[in-house]
Amino acid sequence: MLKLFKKTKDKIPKSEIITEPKEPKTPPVSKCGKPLQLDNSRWERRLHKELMSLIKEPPPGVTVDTESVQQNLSEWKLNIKGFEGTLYEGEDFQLLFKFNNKYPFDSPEVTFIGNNIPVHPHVYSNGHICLSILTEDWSPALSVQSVCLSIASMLSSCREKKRPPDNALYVKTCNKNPKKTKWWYHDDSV
Amino acid sequence: MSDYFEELGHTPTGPEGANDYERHHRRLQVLAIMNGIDIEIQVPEASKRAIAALSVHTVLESELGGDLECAVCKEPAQLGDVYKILPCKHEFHEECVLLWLKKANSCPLCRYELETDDAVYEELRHYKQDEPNRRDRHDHLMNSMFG
Repeated sequence: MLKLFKKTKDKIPKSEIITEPKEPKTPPVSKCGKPLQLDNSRWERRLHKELMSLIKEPPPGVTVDTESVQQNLSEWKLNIKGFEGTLYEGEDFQLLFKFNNKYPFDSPEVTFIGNNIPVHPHVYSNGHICLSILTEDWSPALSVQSVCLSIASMLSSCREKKRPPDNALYVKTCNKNPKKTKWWYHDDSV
Repeated sequence: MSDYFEELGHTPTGPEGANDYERHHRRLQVLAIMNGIDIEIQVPEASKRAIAALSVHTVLESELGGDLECAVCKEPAQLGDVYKILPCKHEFHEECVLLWLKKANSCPLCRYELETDDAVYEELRHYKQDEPNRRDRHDHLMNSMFG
């Protein structure tokens, strides 16, 4: 098991390099996180607003890694705690949100990162999450906050810690971007 | 064979004729979903007609300071903002909602589906919107027999 975690840990920088070419598409100015004068300023503003409200009034158990956000507004690292009274009590997880320049019309790319990936029937060991609002059921009225709440409730309602049945195959064959996966949402109870 | 279909008032296939495989594929997807199989289907954009039919609401001074907020850009209403009202009564900035309706056909808040130009998908949409009536009809039938 330990080996497996190490493996995923090593993989993370690599995946970041591979997804890097997406970055230049977003205007370089956005990297410093200042309001833009471009016509997508409205969407930058929304992202800023969400960040501010997340820092000021975070949903229970969620904290923002402000250092990561200062470097790059389009990639946020959030820490999420396992709630008391659930199977994940006392555990800490890290979520990575990646926004492209079409946010909020495109859903953010959300994965678990770090060396503690929750063992859950909808979370693959490479951090990918099978959650319908992250792909086909996304709506621009949703926000980082509502995604966090969904993930927290997904973890809290879990009754048995286990990986998805197709974990081994999926992790070997999937695309780096979980949004490229054609998910089958079979089980709504967890 | 084609006479037979004409007699019955059916167009057997799409405009491309029998070789329009994409249409057949999509139609199979629609039929699968209508039969309770949970698969993903690509949702077409809202039709131009449906978008043109949306009513407009220009924000007046008396409406400021309320809780009117565009759920897409999360900005509170400002004087002179132009909002579009969807048939489900949810309203958003014109610019915001039109950008979304180029990608999808549903209300960002309640997922009410607008009309599309895709004849195959329309069948599924009508089927979904008929859901409550269908349940009523079913209950009615059951009650008339066993009630």
